[in-house]
Amino acid sequence: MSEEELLKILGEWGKVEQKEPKDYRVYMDKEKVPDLVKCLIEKVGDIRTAAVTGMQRNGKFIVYYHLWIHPLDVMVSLVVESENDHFPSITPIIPGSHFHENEAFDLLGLKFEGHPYLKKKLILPEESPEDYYPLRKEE
Amino acid sequence: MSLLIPIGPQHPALPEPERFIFKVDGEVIVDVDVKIGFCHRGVEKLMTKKTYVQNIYLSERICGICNVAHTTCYVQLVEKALDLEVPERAQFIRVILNELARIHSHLLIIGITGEEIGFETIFMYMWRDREIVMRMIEDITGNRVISALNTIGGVRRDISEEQKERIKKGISILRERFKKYQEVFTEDSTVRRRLCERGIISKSDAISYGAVGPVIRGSGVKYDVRICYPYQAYDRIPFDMVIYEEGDSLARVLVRIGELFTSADIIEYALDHLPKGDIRVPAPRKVPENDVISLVEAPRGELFYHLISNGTDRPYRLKVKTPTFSNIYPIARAMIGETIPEIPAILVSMDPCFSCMDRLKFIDIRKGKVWIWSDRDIRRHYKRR
Amino acid sequence: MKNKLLNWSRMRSLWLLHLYAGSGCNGCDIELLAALTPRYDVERFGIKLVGSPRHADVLAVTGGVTKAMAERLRRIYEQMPEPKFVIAIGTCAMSAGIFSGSYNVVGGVDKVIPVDVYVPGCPPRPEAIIQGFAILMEKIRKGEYDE
Repeated sequence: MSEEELLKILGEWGKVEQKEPKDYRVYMDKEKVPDLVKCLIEKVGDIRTAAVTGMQRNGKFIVYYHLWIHPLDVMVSLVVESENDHFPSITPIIPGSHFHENEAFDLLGLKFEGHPYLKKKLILPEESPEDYYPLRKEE
Repeated sequence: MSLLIPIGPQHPALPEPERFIFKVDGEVIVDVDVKIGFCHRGVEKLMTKKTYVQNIYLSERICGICNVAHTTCYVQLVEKALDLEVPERAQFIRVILNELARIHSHLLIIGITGEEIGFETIFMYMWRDREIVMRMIEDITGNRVISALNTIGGVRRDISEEQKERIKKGISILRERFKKYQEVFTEDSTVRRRLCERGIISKSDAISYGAVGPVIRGSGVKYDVRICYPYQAYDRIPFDMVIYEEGDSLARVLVRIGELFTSADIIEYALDHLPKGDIRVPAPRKVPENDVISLVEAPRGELFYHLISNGTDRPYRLKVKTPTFSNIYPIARAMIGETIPEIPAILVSMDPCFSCMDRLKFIDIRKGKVWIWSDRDIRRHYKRR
Repeated sequence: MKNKLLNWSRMRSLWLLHLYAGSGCNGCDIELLAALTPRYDVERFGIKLVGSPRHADVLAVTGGVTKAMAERLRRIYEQMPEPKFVIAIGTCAMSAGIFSGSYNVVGGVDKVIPVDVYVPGCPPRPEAIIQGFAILMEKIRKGEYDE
């Protein structure tokens, strides 16, 4: 599979933007993320979760799923926005996403639905309060 | 008299969140649970409160051993957001410093690996050789550990002809030592017994569990950021990726030893081909609205920075993903099926940051016993074997 | 009354417990470790590392104190037998350095336990760490401590 073919597939799922050679963003709906990841693994092969960035902007929550496509050596970041703090988990499909999603949960309170073992305080100390999300912006 | 390595907080009897919790059946590990965050310092939040220039010095101190990789990744990130072209000479100098840091970091962990499997003298020999590298780093940057050479727009100091000669001399001395270390780790039977076929991570597991760096290259996956997503001057310097197929602890150590040689090659090539010109261009203080990522091959693996800027002189959101963060989970999985005495060597083959190995909790699922050991306790308990 | 012989023998055999208090970068740890290796070799002064607070004379702390570590640090200090000394190595151990103000960092070591010697630097060179030990040894030789 070539890069053009990959971009064509991605284009069917969301809006593709090239930031730099080998660095793409795909702006899409959050519900479609697990299906897209499954489709990519089927068609392209080895995919690794490099990182998951969570952030808050203008009252909305945004998550970037940064995926490294090994056969093509490109980074594809799936960008999803949500009014609430619930997002789909890709850990059942790519187990390595476990820590990355859990960190976003600890620091921003983003609940990744479908994550088999999401637990609070992977990163934060035991003594911190339950609803404490340090990276949330003060309104 | 054996040397006690000060790896983090001592005495397992004092209460503190455990990093690894092993469920064992007799001596065999059946499940592993991990907790991290002992050294969580809230860096990502601090970075939004400081300016871009101040954050160079903060990113440096995320990890003292990998500080060169952190600053390189950070300034590269801001330069991308500014669309700033860095002079070629600066790029080559950054490569030279990155490779010197890689040599010092690998010598550090290989020395500790040797000590872990019973080769106490190799730790001393390697750290003595590491001093040669520290002196070279101090020669170029003025500092042993925290280099502070990178800045947004280039590097702060140049390399003179005399410094070039001194580095070349240091590298040629080190090459001879590297050959000796390679012999030890490939031919010695104690080494093979402790590291061979332990902590195996298959190729597909390495990818789906998200391993990076020497861990993924030790499992046969051709992934090295310097070649797969080249940055700075790496696309102009020819070198080979070091790959081993076996996926065990020995493969990971051999990848690092192989990288010692490639780093020496890269440094010599970069010194011979150092282009003339400026080392620095001025950079604006405010960064326009942008969304950029930056990847660097730190000694431990892929280092990932993600910036979302908003036109001010402070970052809006700066995400940092360190290589050890990606590697803990795959290595924890690799320990399932292994026995307790093998744990320290497997953990060290991941090249963890300090303080990762001192609080290991064990739960025997059949006898219902629960106890806490440090890696030192494991060694002491199994010394008779 | 402090015995000159006792002071001399105490200063000549300091058993060291190293503790990383959580908020640092490990730079000070590797420079402390480097001080033990052949090039710098503090063992010639009689300083050696031990694994338990109950055997230690000196607690060498690197890094600032994170919230998770504050209670542990205090407990480890209490477990050490008298007379005991604390040496804070590096800027983070002195004042939390560049990490001060973070939501998870309490501050420098002296926010939790009393400190005898401060070694500034980020990180301090092995020579500076050795000087810190020399100052501590001088303090002990002169008897400037409580029993």
